[in-house]
Amino acid sequence: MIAKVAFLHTSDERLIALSELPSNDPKVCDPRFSLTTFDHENTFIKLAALADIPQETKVDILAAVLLSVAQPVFPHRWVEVNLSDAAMASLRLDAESVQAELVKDCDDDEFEEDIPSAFQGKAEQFYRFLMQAPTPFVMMSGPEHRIDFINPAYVKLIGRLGSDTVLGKPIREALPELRGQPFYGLLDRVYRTGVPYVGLEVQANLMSEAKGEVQECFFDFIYHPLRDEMGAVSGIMVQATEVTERVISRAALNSREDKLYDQWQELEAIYKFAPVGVILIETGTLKILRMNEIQSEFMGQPSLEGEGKVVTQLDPRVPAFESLLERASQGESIRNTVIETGVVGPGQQQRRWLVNIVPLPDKVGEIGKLYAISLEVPPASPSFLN
Amino acid sequence: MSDVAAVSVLRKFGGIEEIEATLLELLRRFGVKPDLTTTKTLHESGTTVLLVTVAPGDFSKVLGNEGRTARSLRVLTRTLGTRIGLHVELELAVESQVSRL
Repeated sequence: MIAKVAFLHTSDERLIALSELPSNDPKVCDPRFSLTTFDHENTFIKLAALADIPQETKVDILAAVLLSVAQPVFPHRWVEVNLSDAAMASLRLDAESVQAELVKDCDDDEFEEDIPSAFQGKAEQFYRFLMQAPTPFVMMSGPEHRIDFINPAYVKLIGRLGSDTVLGKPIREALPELRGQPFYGLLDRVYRTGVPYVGLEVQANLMSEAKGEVQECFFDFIYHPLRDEMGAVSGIMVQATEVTERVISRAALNSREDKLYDQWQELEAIYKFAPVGVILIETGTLKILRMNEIQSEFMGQPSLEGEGKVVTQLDPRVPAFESLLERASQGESIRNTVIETGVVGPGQQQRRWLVNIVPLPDKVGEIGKLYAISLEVPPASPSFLN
Repeated sequence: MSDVAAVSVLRKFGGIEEIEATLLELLRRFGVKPDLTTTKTLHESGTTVLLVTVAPGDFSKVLGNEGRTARSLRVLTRTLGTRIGLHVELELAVESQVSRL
């Protein structure tokens, strides 16, 4: 059967799988819906990995799950899959199991009294779904956007202690702190035009009843128009998720990345343009991790081809340099030491270099790398600095 | 598992290559550049290590928020490994800027 599945991730780490399946009854056109909650996305990932389903479908489903966690969007990504009943059941995406749960809930007398008449009949299931869903939902009616329905998740999202202070009130009365913010205008526009509005990472200042102060938050949300039997807009459904933590984390990450990029640029400039040889070597293996052109010349290597090679395996070898590296590997800083290389200059004289080597300790204090800077000195200065 | 049984399992579920292909396709969908992604399979005392190296700019996509995506990919790799009777661990690495410059 062809089914559609979508996933959403809740702030308390759960994964909700929504599926739309064709009706079992050929006379009924309306699809069946299923909602399954997993304690963590990895629980579902394991199920999907082990399921005997086509590879391509598996990848589609896994990608949808991972993206729903890492890059959530509204409306949700719906993935069309062609799977057997058994396969859907093995993924716990079958409607039957959920219907069973709902039937059990319907037997609960306490719940029966709370259901508004607007949700009588089959819509009761939808009402229960919205009330229990960890995703915040609100339904408003009329041009004044009167709040007809609000689920506990939305009450929490807007910082209220209960629904009684907002339920049944127009939005401007229920959430007066939104004055001067874009939300009233957006709701008016959606009601007037019938065009949904999706807001991503929009800042809102909301009154927290618990803390008694206005708090700055960020939300992803959708304002979706609801239409009556004649097709006219009669209200707006709102689905929202708080993404404050994500916005703050990304701002911090961006700032760190900018700093890292600046440092990288600085280092790059030194390697490329400094009039000295620069080389970074791994301690122990003496593998060349990085080397600039001047250093390549010093080592008698074609430009930049020495990277990845081991110093002791180069041709020509530079024993004096190797010896200095060994000393530096033991923790000694080599300062202003002149050595001859195996490279011969224009006058058939050995070229000489003034070498400085600094051992670089890693996080645990062990010397992981050696950083060497070399400057060519004239051949006719045998006692230069030594 | 006998050799015959192992071959049968591999035929049915694919080998380490299928795990590799699954991961690479998932990474591609996360916007990770396929031409800058390399994989390598290593065998270490009963464990098959799948080393996936991505470009420095793509590493944050693979890690996800607080490493969540990476953890899920590791869980996925291990689970796919059990289907073919292998203990497979995923190692994620960033292509060294040092070697690229």
